[in-house]
Amino acid sequence: MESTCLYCEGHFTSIRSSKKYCSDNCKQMAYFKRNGLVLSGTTEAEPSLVVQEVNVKPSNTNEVIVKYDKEKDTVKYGNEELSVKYDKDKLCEFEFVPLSNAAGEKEEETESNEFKEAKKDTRKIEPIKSRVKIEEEQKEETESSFKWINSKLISLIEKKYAQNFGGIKIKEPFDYWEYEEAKCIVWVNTRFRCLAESLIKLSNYSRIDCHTLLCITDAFKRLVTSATFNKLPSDYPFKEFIIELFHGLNKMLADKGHLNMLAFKLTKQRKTQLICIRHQLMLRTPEIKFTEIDFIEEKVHENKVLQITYGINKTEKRNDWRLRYESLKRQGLLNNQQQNKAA
Amino acid sequence: MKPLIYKTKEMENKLIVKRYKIPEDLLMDILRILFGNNIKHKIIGIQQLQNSVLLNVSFDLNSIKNREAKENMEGILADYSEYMKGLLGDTVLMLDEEDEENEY
Repeated sequence: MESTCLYCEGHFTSIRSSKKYCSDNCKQMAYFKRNGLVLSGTTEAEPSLVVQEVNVKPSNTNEVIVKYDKEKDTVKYGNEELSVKYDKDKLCEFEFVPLSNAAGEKEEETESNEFKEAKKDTRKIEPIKSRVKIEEEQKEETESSFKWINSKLISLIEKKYAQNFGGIKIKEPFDYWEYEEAKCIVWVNTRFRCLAESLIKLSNYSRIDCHTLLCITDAFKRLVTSATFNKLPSDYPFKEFIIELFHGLNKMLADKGHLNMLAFKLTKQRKTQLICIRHQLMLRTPEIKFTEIDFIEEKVHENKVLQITYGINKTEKRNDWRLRYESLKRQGLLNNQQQNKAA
Repeated sequence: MKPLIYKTKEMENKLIVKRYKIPEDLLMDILRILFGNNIKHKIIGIQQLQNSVLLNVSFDLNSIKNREAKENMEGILADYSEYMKGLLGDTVLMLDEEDEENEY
């Protein structure tokens, strides 16, 4: 039966009707053409399957026998035997290298990349474990370094500490100041600690009622106007800060005093300052609750003199809450409800 | 060829969930840590009175980033607790998984 070769288009006779190629050569060449291999003297492959590099060209002949050995990954091309080098990820990119060169390159690779070979060996021995390890290593490498975040509030507090705000004067007042002055400082410190704690606590609430603000403002006023406060030495570190707080509270009361509930917020600077002072006072100053605070100043010496000279006992203590209530009433700061409540 | 990615039992056990009470003062810092490192978290409640948020945070202890984020968060909360000692009342900023807060 006569038919036409699909590769060289030559006529040939065959026994089988389905035979497509005249020879094995044409069959192989057609196979290479289909797979995009280009050999000298043959037609060009499809553009997407262009071979990048052909290192060895056959001896000048138009008739070439090409045989591909799947097991060895080699191609017999004319008289020369070539190994096929290709990238597994990019299957279309082939490269022909003479067997001798290929072996040489392999040796070089093994010598130069001992580390890789060692890795391969370990993979053969313990493939799963090594893969898990490698995976973990890669994961750790790919993770960008962690950026440590510092809290602004805590940084500010630490900064204040570093500045030694208050310092040793506050920790050991009797060592630094004279006895009378130190006594005044301890008296003020005890009350200021309580008020500072109250302010910090209030700033942590979302809203406070007006009466609370009124009470704390009044307490500050009583502290600032006390005789002991005025006797404080000029180098007492918190004097100005206490006055500043008192003015701030007074202003807030004037602005928002008409509201039943109000948001009480301190600026970050002021809050950090308060936290820092309170932390310093914590160690040496006794703790008093706001409900138990009083502003009765010690007049023991004067009272004793009076007792001796006039025989009058003036040490009767009135309840401090009543004193505070009366002072608030005099200032007209209490409304009817609060008056009833206090009464 | 890419190596297989799978988790062993040991690795799975390192996933933990922790509950934190974050005061308003630290909220932005803590959220910066959580969002910056893609850490799974869930806001499970707010305490309006105390101005704080209750958070459930899932940490994968196999991840370095997660481990460091946990340290960072707990460090900030511990520092804050130290400075505010006695002012937070009975408030505990770092809660165990089993602890429950009734007041949301």
